[in-house]
Amino acid sequence: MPEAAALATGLAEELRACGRACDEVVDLRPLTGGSSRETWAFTAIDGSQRSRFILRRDPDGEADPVRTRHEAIALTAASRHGVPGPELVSWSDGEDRLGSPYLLMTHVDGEAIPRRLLRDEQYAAAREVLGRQLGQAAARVHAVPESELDGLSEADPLEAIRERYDLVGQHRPVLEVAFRRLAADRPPRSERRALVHGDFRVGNVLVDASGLTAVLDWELVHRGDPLEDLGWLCVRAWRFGGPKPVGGLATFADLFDGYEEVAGARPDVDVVRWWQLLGTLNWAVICLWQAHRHFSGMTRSVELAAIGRRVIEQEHDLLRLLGES
Amino acid sequence: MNSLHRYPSAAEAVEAVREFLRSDAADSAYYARVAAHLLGIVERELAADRGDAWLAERLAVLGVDDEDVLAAQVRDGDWDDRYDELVAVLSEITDERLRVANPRHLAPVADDDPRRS
Repeated sequence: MPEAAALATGLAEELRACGRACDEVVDLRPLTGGSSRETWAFTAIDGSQRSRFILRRDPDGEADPVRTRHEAIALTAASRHGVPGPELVSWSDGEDRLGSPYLLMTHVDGEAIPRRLLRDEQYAAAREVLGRQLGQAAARVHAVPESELDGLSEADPLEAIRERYDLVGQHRPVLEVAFRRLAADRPPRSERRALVHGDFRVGNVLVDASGLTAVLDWELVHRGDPLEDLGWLCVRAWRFGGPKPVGGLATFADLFDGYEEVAGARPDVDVVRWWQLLGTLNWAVICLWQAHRHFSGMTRSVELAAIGRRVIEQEHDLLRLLGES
Repeated sequence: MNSLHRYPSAAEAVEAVREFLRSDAADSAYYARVAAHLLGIVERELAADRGDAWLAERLAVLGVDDEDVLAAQVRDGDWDDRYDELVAVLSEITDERLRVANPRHLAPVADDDPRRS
């Protein structure tokens, strides 16, 4: 694998340029993780010391420098304000250093796979505390001062979803009902335009036997209403079959208690509800979009094709949620 | 357009599986499970009693003969005053689609309304 060998050499040079001693990079291997980025794990050797790192890099020809820059701003600020996660060692939005925009960070131990977190005996104790810890972590993300968010953008959430829906070009009455109801019931604009993780859910966090170790996957970070993150976390799709409303493994009381401990106030549950509904609509449109990527020929994949029929699960949930309000 | 199970259609789903079986990904256990799942949907669709004619009947209850037209009407607010009538029919159609796409998702869920926490 000559490409991997070149990457290993480049990573060793990059670590030394950041002031970290490194004789050699070993165990470089790609991780699967189903995202739009390549993810690599590797170990840096310095004498008898071994340190593990993670590289996330845009695929060749799919450079997204803005996204990488946003993620670097967020990761740096979040880490400074006590959100558990990796330390950002270096990053670039250019193509000159490691071929394409990348983020190089320390490795954090923990499990991300939702089905294991929900069912394996070794995470039983973690499940007891995770709801509260997710609340605390979300509140820490949202408490990052606005002065540290320069360069992060904000979009109208409903318009952004509508834009993607129109791009796919499917016409679905249930989704139109949801668009209308969300527009009619829109909560007052929150005063604070907080740091919003944008994909805060089980599957994007790491957990060990004692609880939360890292908040990952900041690709969709932006500024906006902080309660977006709590609503998204409570969308049914992110319960992975688990019985409880928060990620399948925690109660609202756990989540809101943890949030209140850090934020000093309990989140407005009416606003969380609105974002839960919006999150369900958003996921429906993402399912349509994924299928569209296959059928339009952008990326042919049986997995993307199959996601198309998952829209119906979201439509079912939207009708259920709308019926309760 | 009036297609009960529409996107992707059974033919599109089968095409995606066929393409997968001939691709480099064919030896992946993960993608094989996804392909089997997709064929399971097609299998249920082929066995189902209700089809496009049933959808047309349900739409006729609302006085429309095309689902795209209905979507446009909802978008324009034409159904705001007859919301309950609309949602009753949409629920029937959605449940029928779900019986094919993922019948397990029809199981009742525990209360997940944060306003009742």
